[in-house]
Amino acid sequence: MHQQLELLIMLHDLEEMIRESLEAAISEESLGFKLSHQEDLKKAYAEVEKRLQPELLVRYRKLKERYERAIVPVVNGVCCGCYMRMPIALATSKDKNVEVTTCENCGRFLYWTE
Amino acid sequence: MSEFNLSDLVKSEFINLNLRAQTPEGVLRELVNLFELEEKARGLLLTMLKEREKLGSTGVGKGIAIPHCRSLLLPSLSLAIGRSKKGINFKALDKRPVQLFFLIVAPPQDPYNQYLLTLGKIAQIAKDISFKDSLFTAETPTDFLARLKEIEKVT
Repeated sequence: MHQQLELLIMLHDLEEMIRESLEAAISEESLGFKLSHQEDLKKAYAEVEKRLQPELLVRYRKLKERYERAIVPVVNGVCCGCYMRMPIALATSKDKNVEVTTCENCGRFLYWTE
Repeated sequence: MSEFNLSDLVKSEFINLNLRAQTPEGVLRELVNLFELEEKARGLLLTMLKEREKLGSTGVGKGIAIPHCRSLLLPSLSLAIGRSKKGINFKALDKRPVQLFFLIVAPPQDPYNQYLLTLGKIAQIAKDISFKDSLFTAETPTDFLARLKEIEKVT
């Protein structure tokens, strides 16, 4: 897996964790978990941001402004952002996740789960 | 999709009743290894789970912990179960060592919000069962799943 793609995934997953830890409606506290150090998550997020190539970070933020998610999984050959089917050449390539790729239709970063 | 069973969600190959690890990180690693993921993805998932544990332990008491996170890395809600005979110091709420681990990883796209339903179900089981429950002693994954099914019928 491409190292910058790893960072994009981390950035996304940390964002999800920060968002969920802040949303009272789905608070884990009601399930019996203790939640406290959200600051740690934010620190980890800032560190990932620093390690990401600046142009990728700019693109990530622009995508975030436009869509809710900037990086989406490809499931069964379909982009989970815009639901367009991936071109056959890309879908059958053996080197998925070796490079940072984007959806030709919506521009979101892609992560191949199969 | 309001009604679903944990026992249907987890496959026996995702159950390890003899965890060898002696540390929280080791346990998480053994559980993550049950998923079919490339090595780098496993490392990444492990990092995310550790970040989640930093927020506060997912050890809910009674020897049970529910490590969990959302991640792009898995295409659908995935559950892995592990059991440590000796128990691990997981900084659980009741400070007891944790023997049973239910690992949940959910992708961001989760149309029925199964993630939280699953978390809630396991938290409920943790509240209901006793320390002597056969989940702590079941010999095989099949026995374990059979007992889980029984509990789910009652709760």
